[in-house]
Order: sequence, then C-alpha cells, then structure tokens
Amino acid sequence: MNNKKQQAQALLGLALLGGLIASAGTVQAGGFMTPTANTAGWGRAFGGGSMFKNDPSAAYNNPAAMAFIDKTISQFTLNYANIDIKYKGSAYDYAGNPTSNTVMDPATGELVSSTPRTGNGGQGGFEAWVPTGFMVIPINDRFAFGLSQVVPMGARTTWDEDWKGRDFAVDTRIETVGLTGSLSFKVNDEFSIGGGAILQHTKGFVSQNVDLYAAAAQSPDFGMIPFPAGQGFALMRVKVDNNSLGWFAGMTWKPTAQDTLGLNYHAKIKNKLEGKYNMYADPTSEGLMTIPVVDGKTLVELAYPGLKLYPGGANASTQLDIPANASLDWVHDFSDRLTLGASVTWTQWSSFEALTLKSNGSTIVSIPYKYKNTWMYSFGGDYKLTDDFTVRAGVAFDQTPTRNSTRDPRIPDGDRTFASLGFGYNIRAIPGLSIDGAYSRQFVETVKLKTKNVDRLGAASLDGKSEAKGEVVSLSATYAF
Amino acid sequence: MKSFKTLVCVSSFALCFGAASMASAASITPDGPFTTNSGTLVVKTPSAPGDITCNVTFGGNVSGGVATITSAQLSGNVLCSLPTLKNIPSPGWVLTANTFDPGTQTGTGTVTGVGWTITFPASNCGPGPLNVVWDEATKTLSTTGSQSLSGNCFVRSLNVKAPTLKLQ
Repeated sequence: MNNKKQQAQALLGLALLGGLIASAGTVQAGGFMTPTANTAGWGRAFGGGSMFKNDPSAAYNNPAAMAFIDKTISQFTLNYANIDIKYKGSAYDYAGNPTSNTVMDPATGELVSSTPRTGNGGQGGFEAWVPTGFMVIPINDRFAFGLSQVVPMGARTTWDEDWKGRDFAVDTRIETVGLTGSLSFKVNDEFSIGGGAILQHTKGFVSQNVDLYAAAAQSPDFGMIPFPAGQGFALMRVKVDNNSLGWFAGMTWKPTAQDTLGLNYHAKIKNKLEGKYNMYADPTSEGLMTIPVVDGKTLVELAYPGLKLYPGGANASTQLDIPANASLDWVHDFSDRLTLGASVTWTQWSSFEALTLKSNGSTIVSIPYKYKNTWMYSFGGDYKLTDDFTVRAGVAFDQTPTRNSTRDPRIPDGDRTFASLGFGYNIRAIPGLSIDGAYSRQFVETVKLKTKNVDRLGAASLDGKSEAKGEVVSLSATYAF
Repeated sequence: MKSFKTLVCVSSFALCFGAASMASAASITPDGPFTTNSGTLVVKTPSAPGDITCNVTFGGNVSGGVATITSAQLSGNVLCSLPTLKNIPSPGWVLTANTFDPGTQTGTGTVTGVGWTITFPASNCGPGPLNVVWDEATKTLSTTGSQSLSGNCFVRSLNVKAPTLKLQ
C-alpha cells in the first residue's frame, strides 16, 4: 500500500514536470532574457530569488538552496504573458525622405510614383503561454538532486509587413526551452553548495525587408548612384535553431536562524544557431539577386563583393549567446508570518555585440547592438495570513541592456519596473498539494528608437519612440511528497 | 552687293561655299590603326535612375578618310561594366568627318551605329547616330549637349582625345 502511494506520488510529480516538455513562449525581461522564477517568485517580483523556504525553483536558480529542502517537491508553473509594444514616429530612407512605396518605369528608368508609408507597424507585442517546472529530490542528508524545465531566453516582436520601419524588423521570435539537472551538497547546517547543467534548445525566426535599391545606392562600387529607395520588396526570412549546453552553480549561507543568503552564477552559454534563410521578393528584386550580369555575378554581388543572396533558400547561421549572470539573494524571516527578500542580479550583456547572419561562411549582414551590462534590483516578500494562505508582493527594477544609438524595433527594450502581487494556498484536502497565483505588471520606460540601418540593408533611419507595457499572470501547482 | 555675291556664287558654287562658311568637306587621317587616350562617356539608360559616368578608351582603324571604332573599353564604377556595346567589334562604330574649318581648326562629324544593351534591369539602346565635334588643336572628340538614342537612352556627353588622328 505504501509502495502504491509512493508510486502514485512519483507519477503525480513526474506528470507535473513532464507536462512542461512542450514548446515554450517568452515572458520578456531585459534584452532577450526571461525570468526563470516560479509563481511565488513572480509574486515577490523575484525579491529573494529561490532562498525562500522549500522553493523548488532552486533547482535552476540556485541549486545550493536545494540542500535545505527536506522532502521531494514537484512544481508546475504556467505563465501567461501579454506584452504590448507600439512605435510612434517617423522612418526615413537613406536620402532623408519618408520611407515610401516607390514605382519606377522600367522602360525609362524614371520615377512613376512615390507613396509614403504611413503604418506604424501595429501592435508589435505578443501573448504567450510559458510553462516551467521544477523538481527537487533529497537523496540523503547531504545531497539533493534537482530537475527543471525553464525558459531562460526569449523575445518576440511582430510588426506589419508593410510598415514604415519594415527595413528594420518585421518578425522576431527567439524561443528557448532548457532542461536542467543539478546537485546540491550540504556542507553543514549553515552552508551548502550546488551546481548543475542545462541542455537548451533555442529556436529563432527573424524577418525583415531588405531595400536592395537603397542598398545599391550606398555601394561605392556602384558610384553612389541615387537609386530611389522603397522599390518592390525583398522579405528576408531566417529560421534557425540549436541545442547548447551550459552550467550554473551557487552557494547558500544561513548566518542566522532568520537569514539566508544565496549567491549564484549562470555561465554564458555559447549558442550558434543554424538553419535556413530565404527571400520572398518581387520579380525585379529577385532578378537583382539571381540574374548574372557581368562575369557570372549578380548586381547584388557587384554592389557588395562577396555577398550572395539566394531567394530560394540557403544555409544560415548566427551566434546568439546567452549572457552570463550572477545574483545575490537575501531572505530574512521577521516573524513566523513575515518574510522579506531582496536580490541583485548582474547580467553580462556586453557579450552581445552584434546580430550577425552568415551563410556558407560569408557574412550576409551584421547589425551592431553593443549591449551594456545590466543590474536588476528586486524586493519582495510573503505574509502568512493563515497557516494555509499566504499573500505576496514585490517590486523590481530591471535595467535595459539596449543603447539609444542601436536600439531598434527588433527588441525595443527600455528600463522596466515590475510590480507584483501573489498568493499561496495549501489545499488541505490533498495533503502536500498547494497552489500559487501571481500577477505582475511591467511598466516599461518609453525609449527612443533613433537609429540608422546598415548600408547593405538600405541605410534607412528611424526617429521615433517605443511605448511598451506588459503583464504576466502566473499559476502553479506544487506537490510536496 | 549681296545680290552680286549671290550671282557670283551661283556661277561658281564650290568657291562660294568655301568662302561663305569657311568650312569644307573633311577626312580623317592617317590611314591605319589608332587608339584614343582615356576619356569620359556619360550616358543615361533605363537600368539606372541617374547618369552613369564611365571612363572610355576607343580603338580602331582609319581607312579612306573614315575611322571605324572596333574596340571600346569602359571602366569606372561597377555599372560601367554592365553595358554590352552594339556593333563592337564588328561592324564597328563609324566616325565620318563632315566638315573641317581650317581657321578654327575644328570640325564636325557623325558616329553611326552607337548603341548598347544591359541584361538586367534591361536596357536596349540604339543603335543610332551621334553627332560629334573635333578640336584639332587639342585632338579632342566630343559631343555638344545630350543626344537621345532609341530605347529611352541618352548620351549625355563624350570627351576623348585621339592624339594620332588628324582632321583635314
């Protein structure tokens, strides 16, 4: 009977965790990182990290804290994210004219019409369901084992295909899902260490228009002839993915019976994404890429020596490393009912310098971003209204890694403030089962989008701003065996 | 006085033509191959929105007072490599001298068969005639003003020196 109960419990735990192995969306934070907190963490706006008692999210966020969990805990979290992003402003072609839909007479080479593009791209944000899960299994008094499924990276923006900034971005989707395993070791009752590995699958999809004529006008090899911008269309679509391995480690220290300190480090994960690109283009634009005109070379090759574009598709690769980050967490029990936590997180975003797309070894385009390292400060806590019902709240401030000079509609990120509320409830009818809920509102700084595109994308410029806001609703079910 | 001159002229047409215009039928010498120095050719073609300026060097042969251009090398920016010249090398662009004024050491002429094609974006220009002027003092062959060719094409200007040629 006892065996059957254990089997049922194990089955429930694995079901909670196994239900997560599905495609994951994104819950945006700074850059293209996403918080890996569980529902309780969202409720506290990440304050204190995973240092709260019996928090299974330690399995990924700070494995050392698993050492102080004395029973097997499995948790399934489902986050719903609704991010709203809008662009307001202007877009200009390389000559300084508003970006336009330009029609030329092929018989004469003269301008027929030029109609300015007026669309601001619509709502560039997204809605997503993001599952995460954690499981901690104490092995003995010293060791504990952890499993998790997390979404450490993700970003998404979707703009209208014919909007005025189409030469900068149309679609951007970066989605990851990571499976982790970790181990903790309790050195003594006050100190523990832990470490783990993550196997991460990343999928990326980006699209944008390439203004081939405007790019040709920037070519010194073409004599800087002022080809009118905005002719036709050449929508480049890149779809890539990769599996990558990374590691993380942490330590936990309980200097007093009321205090828990945690330090964790998640190493940079090298992530070379590979796949295909193609270009959906009008016949003339396709001809620029495919019809040999001199010595077997196309006009695109002549304008940018070494650049070959294959509308029908070709290999593509890009490097999108996950930056290293480190957090210092502190949790203090003020009473049996009140516990507060604070965290500081540093992310080495400076490792992301450019988004470079290569094909068969040669660079198609490299867009500079030059991200800067960031800090995130968070503060939150729990208050037990009853033995079974806990309320939570927290605030966090998250710096953006983007710079004014390179920020574009792909990731129009600004500093953001999280304000969160949450609850936890122990369901007495099913001993060990508890549920948590949280609501987190993101107030994102309105930021300038004032940047100029690289020559080979047409050298258009933007002069506007991005207004964004977001909300996350998080629910979790936790089962303690 | 004017009517008297006219009368004399009618009676001696050839003499009067020379006296009134100070120009005469001309020919190009010496017979044999020639090559020009590098000059400039500016054209407008439907393949591109603006004028294309190229360096050009001609080569050919003079025979019977007529110069036949059988080679033309265009250089400069990438667009200068796009045109395929019509009638080059054969039968060639034929430069015929029309007049020569010994007083000013200048003459006029016509280059026939001028034209070119570009594969993509497509242009099909000429062939057609190009009116040119010759400056014997500087040995310069040039055009005056923009001249059109069929296919919505234009030769905006041509300016090239041919040190070995002589107009007389």
